Formats: sequence, C-alpha cells, structure tokens
Amino acid sequence: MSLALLAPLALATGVVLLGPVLAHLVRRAPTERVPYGAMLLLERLRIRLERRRRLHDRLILLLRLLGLLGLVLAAARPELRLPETRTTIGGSGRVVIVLDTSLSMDQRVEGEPAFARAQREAVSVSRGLGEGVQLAAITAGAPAETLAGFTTDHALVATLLEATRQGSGGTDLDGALALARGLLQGQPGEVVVIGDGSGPGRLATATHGIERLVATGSALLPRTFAPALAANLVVTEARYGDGLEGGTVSVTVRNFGPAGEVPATVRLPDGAQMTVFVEAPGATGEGPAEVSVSVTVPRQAEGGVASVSLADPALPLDDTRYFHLPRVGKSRVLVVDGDPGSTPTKSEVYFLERALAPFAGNGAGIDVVAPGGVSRLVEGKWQVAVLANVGDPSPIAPVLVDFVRGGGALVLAVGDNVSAEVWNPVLGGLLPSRLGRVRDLVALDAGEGVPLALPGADLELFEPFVGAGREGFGRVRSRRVYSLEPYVESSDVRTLLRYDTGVPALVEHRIGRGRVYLWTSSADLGWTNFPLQAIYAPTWQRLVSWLGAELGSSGARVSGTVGEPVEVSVPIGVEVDVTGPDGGRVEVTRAAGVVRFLPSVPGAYVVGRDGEPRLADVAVNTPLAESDVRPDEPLAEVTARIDPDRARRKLALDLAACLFAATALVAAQGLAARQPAEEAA
Amino acid sequence: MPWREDVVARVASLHLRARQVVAGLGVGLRRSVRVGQAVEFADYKPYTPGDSLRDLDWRVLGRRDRLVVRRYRAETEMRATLVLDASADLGSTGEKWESSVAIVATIAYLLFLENEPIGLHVAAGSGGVVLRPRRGRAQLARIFAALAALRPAGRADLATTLAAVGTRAHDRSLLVLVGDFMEPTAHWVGALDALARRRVDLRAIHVFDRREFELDFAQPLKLYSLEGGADETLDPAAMRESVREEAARFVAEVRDGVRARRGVHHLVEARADLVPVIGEFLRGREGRFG
Repeated sequence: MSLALLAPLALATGVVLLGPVLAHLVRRAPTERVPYGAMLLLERLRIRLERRRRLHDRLILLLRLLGLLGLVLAAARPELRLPETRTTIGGSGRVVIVLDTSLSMDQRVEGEPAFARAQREAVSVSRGLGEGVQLAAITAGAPAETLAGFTTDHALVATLLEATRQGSGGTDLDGALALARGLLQGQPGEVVVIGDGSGPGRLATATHGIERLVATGSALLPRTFAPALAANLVVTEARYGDGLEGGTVSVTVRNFGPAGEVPATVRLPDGAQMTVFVEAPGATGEGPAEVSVSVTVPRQAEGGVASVSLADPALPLDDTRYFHLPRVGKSRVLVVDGDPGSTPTKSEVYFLERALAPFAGNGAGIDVVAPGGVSRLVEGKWQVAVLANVGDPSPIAPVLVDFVRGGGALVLAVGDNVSAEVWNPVLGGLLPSRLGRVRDLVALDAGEGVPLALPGADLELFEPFVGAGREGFGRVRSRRVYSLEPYVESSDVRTLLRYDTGVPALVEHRIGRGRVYLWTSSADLGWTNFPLQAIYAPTWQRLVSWLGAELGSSGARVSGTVGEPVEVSVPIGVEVDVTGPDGGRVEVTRAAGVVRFLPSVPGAYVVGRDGEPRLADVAVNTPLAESDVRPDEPLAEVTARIDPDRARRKLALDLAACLFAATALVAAQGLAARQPAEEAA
Repeated sequence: MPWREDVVARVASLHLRARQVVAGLGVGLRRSVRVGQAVEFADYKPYTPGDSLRDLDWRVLGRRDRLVVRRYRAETEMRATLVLDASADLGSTGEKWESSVAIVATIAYLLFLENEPIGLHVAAGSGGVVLRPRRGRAQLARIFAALAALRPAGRADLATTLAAVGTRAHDRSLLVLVGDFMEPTAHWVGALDALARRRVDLRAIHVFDRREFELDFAQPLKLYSLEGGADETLDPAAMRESVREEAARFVAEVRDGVRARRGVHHLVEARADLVPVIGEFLRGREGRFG
C-alpha cells in the first residue's frame, strides 16, 4: 500500500496547524495575589483533576489538529494505492487456464486429492465465462502441454479438463507460461493458474516467464488448493550395499511434516519383501528432517529393480522408490585345474576350495574340472570361471571367449605350466596384455618375496577391506610373476593390485559386459605365499561375490525420472523394445546405438527383446522436488513484485469526504471543549 | 514575659470575651459522664453476679424484695490540655485566628471556674508555648497572656505536636484541639491513636472560614499560602463548586478520623457566635459543613 498526493504543495497549508498549538500554550495570567488558608484543598483538587484535565486538554488538541489535517488533506487530495484483488476473469476477452497436473497435486486437501479440487475449479471457471470469451487450457505437469487452443466452445474445454488425469512428474510452470504467451501472441489476457503452490523455490524458475507475460498486459490469477499443514514422507535414496557378511539396503527417508512412525516395505525382484518401521523426526523451521534405516536382504536374491514403499497417506504417488539390486549370493564358480598337485598344498584347487567353502554354503557353488572337461560353459550356470595354471588352454579358448563376451568373469592364474608362447596366441583377446616372461622378483628359494602394495581406496572391489584388513594385503609376498608387455591404463584395462616394486599383480580387462582378471603369480604356494595369508579367503569371496553382483543382472543399470527422457545404449543394429511397469510396450525413439523413451509413471522398465537377456533395467522414480510440499511464495506476491503498479488499484480520497471529516472533527472538539470549565482551567 | 501594652489590652479583651460567652451560656458547672464509685448517687441497676455486695441497696431489698445495686456519679479531677494550631494559614483571614483564640480562652475560663488543671500547647505560631496543666487564677492568667501574645506563623506539624501531647496526657484527661487542620489527614490522624488508647476525651474544634471553603472571590486571581509554596492561578467562578465539594470531603475525612479515635469533632465557622458554639461543645454535639 502506498500514498501519493495529487496536490503536494497544498501541504504547505499545514502551517495553520501551528495556530491551535500556540493558542493552547498561551494563556492570560491574572495579577491579583490573595492569601489563602485552604491551599490544601486546591492541592487535593489539583491532584484529583490532574489526569482527567491532562487527557481532556490533549483530546481537544488532537481533535483540532485532526480537523485541520482533514482540511489540509482535502486540499492536497491524497491517493491511496491498494493491492488489486478484483480482476475479472474474461474481462480482456481471452482466458488461459493453467492446470497443474504434477505429482504434488496428489496432496490430500480435506480428504481428497488437490488435483480433484483444482480440476473442478478449472471446469467451473470454464463454464462460468461469458459468451464470446476466448478460452484455452494448458497442463503444467512436466512437460507442459496445450490441452486446448483458444476457442469459444467453453463446454469443449471443460470436457477436456474433466478428462485430464494427474501425472507423476514435476511441475513445468515456466513451460506452461511460455505456452500461454504463445497462445496470447502478445495480447493481454487473464491466465488462471490452478495449482497447489507448494515447493519452495519452484516459482523462482518461472519468474522470467511471469515477467514476460505481465509485460504484455496480462494478469496472473492464482487459484491454490493446498492442505493447511504441509506433510509428506518420501524415500530420497535406496541403495544396496554388500559386504562380506551379506547385503543390506540403506533407505533414507525425508519428512516434511510432523514426526511419526511409518512402515517401509522393501520388495525384491524375486517377490521377497521385508518391512521395517521408520521413526521419522518432524520437520523444523529450518527444513525437513531425514532419517536412515538399513534393511537386511536375504543371502540369495535375484538382481533387478527393487522398491521401497512407505505407507504415507499424505502424498501417495511418491511413496515408492525404485532402485537397482544386484544379484546377491547366487554365483557359481568353475575352477579349471590345470595342475593337480601331488600333495594338497601343491594344488591350487585345494586352497580355492577351502577359501570358497564357507561362501559356497551360502548359495554359491564351486565346481572343479580338468581342462578337457570344459566343453561349454552353460549359460547362466557359472558366473565366474578360474583358470588355474592351465598349460594349454587352446581347447577351451573359444568357450572362454564366448563366456566372457556373454558377461562372465574369468580369473586367470599362471604357474609353472603356463607358457607365454602358448597363452598369447590362444588367449590374446582375453588377456589385458600379452604375457612377457617369467620374472623372479627375488630368488625363488628365498624366504620371502616382494610384498603387495595396499590396494587403492577408490576401488570398489576392495571397498569392504578397511583398516587391518586392507593392511593384510601388505603381507602377501611373491617371489615370481609373469611380466606383461607394456599396456595403457584405460576404462577397459586397469591395474587393481601391484607389488611394491610396481610390477602388476592383478589386472582387469573389461570386454563388453564380461571381465577378465589376470593374477600374475600362481594360485598355489609355488610362487607366492598368498594362499597362506589371512586375506586369501576373504579376497576370493569378495571377488566372487562382487563379480556375481556386478554381472549377475543380465542388463545394464539405468536410472530415470518421470517426465524426463531416458536414454539407454544398445548394440548398433539391434531392435529393442521397452516394457513398462505394467507390462505394456512404451513408446520409444531409436537412434544409432541409443533408444530413448519418456517414462510417465514410476517403476521398473526393461529394455530388451522378447526371449533374450535384457539389455538394461531402468529404475524410474518420481522427481524428488515434487515431494517437497512446503508452501512456495504465493504467485500473487511474485506477480505484484514484478509489476507493482498493475497489481494495485488507486483510491483517491474524496474532497467532500475530507471536508465532512474535518467539519465533524471540529464539531467534536467544540463539544469536548464544553466540558466543565474548571477542568480546563 | 516583658510588658507590652497591646498584649495586656488583648488579655483583658480575651478575659472579657470569655466571661461574656460563659455568661451567655448560663452554666458554669461541668459534670463527668463517667459512672463509678463516688459520693453522689446516680441511679440503680439490677444486681448481677459479680457486683460488689457493698453496693447492694439493703433498704430496697428489705422493702421490695429486689436485689439492686446503687451507682454513683464520679466527681473526679479532669486534667485538660488545650492544643491550638497557630500556623500561618490560620491568619489568612483575621476571623479564623480570632475565633480560634477566643474558643481556647473561653474553654480555659470555663475549666478555671471548675477549678480544673489547665494546660496549653501551641503548635507553630510566633513563639512556642507549652504550659503544663495547673489549677488556679495564675495559670489562667498565663494562658491568657500567652494567647494574647501569640501570632500565627510557620507551619504546624500536627503529627509531631499530637505525639508530644500524647506522651504527657493523663488517662481519661480532656484534650481540646483547636485549628483548621489544613494538613493532609493521613499525616496526622494516626497520631490520635495514642490518645485513644489512653481514653483521652478528645474534642477537635475545626475552625474554618466559609469564604475560603466556598472560594468567595470575584475574579480570576492568584492565591498563595502564608506558609509558603507556589501561587495558584485560578478562576474562582469556575472552581467554586469543585472547591466546595473538596472542602466537604476534607471535613468528612477529619471528622471520620476523629470519630474513629472516640473523639468528638466540632465544626465551627470562623464568623459564628461563640455562645452556641461553646454550648454545643459542652453538650458534645458536632457541627456540620455544607
């Protein structure tokens, strides 16, 4: 609200205000002095009348001043500017209804979704317009879409609005205003924005759009439907984390409302489900509260897209969050024993069997065969194959290549039987680098060899090894290794372990979805003391577990958000389809090596071809911003800030009213002055 | 006291006026209202257990077969202290002062006639006067001389004066307090408690000038107190009614304060004839203002 004066110079007449002030102060004093023996009475009387007389005098002075002020104002003609609140919808002849269909409109307002009420309001506005008014409708759920262009058929627009369904995506107010501008084509109109007004900062993204719309003379008229108290619980993150002892799903819940306890159910791809109760602290003035809980998953679980669901009635559409779960505890290991030892301690298999024995009991399995026994690696039966000191792998090389290209993991351990001349031509495509020569790090009969350097902390494979566990690698010493021809570190070839001298100890080679790991020393005690170290068994268990999890799900893992395009890389020339959460085909666009689609609902999407292993699992979730149901700055205030003049109406004070008020005040002071004269004396 | 002709003349005047008033009253005897053992029979009362058998009237018992006890009127010495407020405000109008002095002189003369011990205590005034109660003509002369020489001056501190008098007052003695009592009542009324505890017969003679109480002035003027303080500028016509009401409230406060201490409040207009005033005083009747 602001005040302006149409005749500011008239304020100069305010000097007449000094008149009554001076008259009030100047009094005629008598001169006769008379002795008086009852002064006590006057003193008592003065005390009694003091307060009343003071108030009375001030009242008269105030009334006189107000009276004169009224006269001055009548001359100055002030103009009061008040916020505009009465723009008539349809007054300009063009009305655009913007209906928010975003996820947050699923908030419950007096027991029903805000969207239902907003929809009714939109229909009501449509049907209530006068004849000849051009009406258009736009949905503001991301991405914004024009529901109906300008038409005078209000019933048609109302029908379209009634048929509109709420989405699970974000809010695209800026896009909706851009569409409205396009429809209005620079002409002024009334844009009725019907939404929930929630999500701090959401309007800030549309400020520019509001400015451009207001600049054309259009008015934004918000209609907001939101619960009195913001409340919502949402899972902001769900992540599987495995360890030596098994896996857990970490669930982070954010609470935008009061504190409460809510059940959270984790559903795995194989149908298993676990429920925990989440005690969520209440949101504070500083923001929402967060709490994390861990849910232990079974030791054996299929990989795929899992979900966490909260039983929160505030905003049901965002209650479920989807996440990727790797295959858990279902790896089988095939060991190809190329050197059955004369004694157990001279056999690689002896140590491997014992290292993986506890692990095998948890669902994994270990099978041992001679090189001649490997005719083919059954698809899906083994996830990890270990080639232990196999002298001539040529008979099984094609099988191994297919195995790796199909997504399997192959661990190669050398030894006395291995010859570079044989391996390089046969396994050259699988090896991270061609084998060089056998290299003695120390004398073979020396007591100790060269120790391993500790693995890098950034390697996911060694993530579970911390503290003393990680230091255990430093006690692994080797006396002899196979050197490798020089190679370049890349995303396909990585050195995971080295010896203190820098010689590679374990090198990874990624081939498509498959992996090859080359251990440059022996798997038995021939060249290294690794099998005797405490770190030996955990390392093999971690390697098998991790590889099983990494490679267990047959497809790539992709995440997406409702309303935002999802891109998945596919082999060039391969036609793939996308299956939605409901099992139906999803409309896709295909480009070379890429398939794109726009998810409209959250859930698990599958990219692949019927009857073939899936190429990718896509976990699609609702946008987290929509779950923040705290109220945003009111649209009316933003509009008023952008164009204060247009948002206010002017109210000039009436001359006659001012004069009347002044006269009334003067009369009032006259009446007040007729109080008993002794009080004024 | 040094010889001063004007004082002698005033003493004579006071004496004369006191005698005239007493003569106008036609009475000269005072009777105590107290009932107790003495020589003069008062009346009978029915015997009640606890009454002394010595007072039993055996003759009545013999004649009428009724048990009655004789009661006697006490004729005891009454020590009287006259307290005069001589503050400067008493002299604001001549009538107030003259009337106050005449009242004190008259009562002193009456008590002299009864041969009672008379004392005088003057609050403020031109010279401090404290005369302890004594009998006789010489004491009366001293009182008259002191009154004749006295002029109103200064501020009376009634609370201090009454406290001093109260410490010396005898039980059941008479104390006559004469003045305009123009001090906040809350300041001095409490000092009467000590007198009440001693069952002193308190008579407060409240002298006022009706012209002051009714603000009988013609035009706006400045009023000032002879006791000092700031001038008060006012319009008498505008303030008259309020001052009258305030005066009535003040008189009521004084009267209630005195009554609460079992005293008698006599309100005396300064220009009034003293004969009826003293008559009312002797009968214990109170005057009224307004």
